Amino acid sequence: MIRGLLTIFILFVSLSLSGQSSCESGFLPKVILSKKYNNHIKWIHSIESRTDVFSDSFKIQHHLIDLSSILSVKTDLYQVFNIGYILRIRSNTVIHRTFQHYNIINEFESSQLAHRFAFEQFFELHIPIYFRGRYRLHYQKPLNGDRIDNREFYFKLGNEYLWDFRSNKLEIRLTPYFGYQVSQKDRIEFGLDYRTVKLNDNNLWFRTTWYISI
Amino acid sequence: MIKRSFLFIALLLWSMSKGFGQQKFEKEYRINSEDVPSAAINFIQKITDKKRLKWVAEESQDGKTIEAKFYKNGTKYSVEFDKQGQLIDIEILISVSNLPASEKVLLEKTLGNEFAKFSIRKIQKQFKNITFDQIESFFNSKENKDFDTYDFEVVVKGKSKDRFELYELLLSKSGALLKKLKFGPQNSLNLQF
Repeated sequence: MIRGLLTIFILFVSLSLSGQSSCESGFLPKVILSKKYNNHIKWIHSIESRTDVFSDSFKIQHHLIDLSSILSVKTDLYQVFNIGYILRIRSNTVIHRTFQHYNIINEFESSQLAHRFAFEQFFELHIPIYFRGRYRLHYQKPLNGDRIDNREFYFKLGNEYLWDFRSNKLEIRLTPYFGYQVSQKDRIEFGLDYRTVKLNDNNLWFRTTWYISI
Repeated sequence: MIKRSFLFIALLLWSMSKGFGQQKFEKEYRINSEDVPSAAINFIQKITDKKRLKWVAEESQDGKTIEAKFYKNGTKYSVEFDKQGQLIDIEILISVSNLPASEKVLLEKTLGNEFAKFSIRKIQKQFKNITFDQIESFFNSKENKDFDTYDFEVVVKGKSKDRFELYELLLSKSGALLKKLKFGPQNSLNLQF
């Protein structure tokens, strides 16, 4: 099944890129640090950078950096409300973003399905506040056994829809990842992050994420 | 004598409280049939088609065991063996709606005593101390009649005190609580961010 999903992804990206009008690609490394305060509350910090490798032509250059801080409140065993702030630094521009996420996680016999509903507010100097709504679906399955245990690999597939209320444009993201549970406290994911707006503005990123719990 | 009896009762109560309040530890991973004891392979070959079979090693607080997981006639079975390939138990995944009303009442009564609120997430019938002839006739006859004695392994989302937690409970056919283990949901940080 995983092989089939990857084939669909590659076909989808190939078809989209063949009719492209603009394309960007590069690296998106990210580190997420989470600290549990009690059974309900976690404080999460992350840092993510974007390095362009191709943007109309091949050229490696640092593009931006995102710093975020999130308060995560567990409202049920499988439901989490997150409220946070992201600081984006891009060249001489600084964008402030606040957001609210609601996550619903379904655990099955040997897989997990997670829904994320999000609302974001963007604040930039000399630009009126603008908003974005997001919905993301993640499917995750261990490659060995029914649960993801230490030193085991897993597969994660994401599909996200983002609506920009300022430009009235829909962005679609497709993200197949492989993950490795290093220990109870950390796991690493690597994979592709394909983004498209109206199928003629395409981005393909290689993403690695390191999740650390302290 | 009175002192010794008191000590014995105190020890018994302590061990019972430990047994009923344990955290569940379980690690499962796929293994190849070459790593499975031949006794277990021979056993399984007599009751199911090899093509739709998954061999899994399971490490838990009870030690290491080997499980064969397969579907037969739309029902999921797990047959558990010890490291030497000797049968430990057979588990059959069932749905609460398929339970006879009398058994459902007994289980819900026990769960109601344990938790302020609960929902059953998974329920399996567990057969122990059964002979090979019984098993062979169970799997190969068309009627698939139940064995006389069995327990229920139930995974419950239950509220005790002020919050919900996940529990795995072993209940007898008559509803008596035999084992209670608490466990947490899987880490979902990477599904949220």
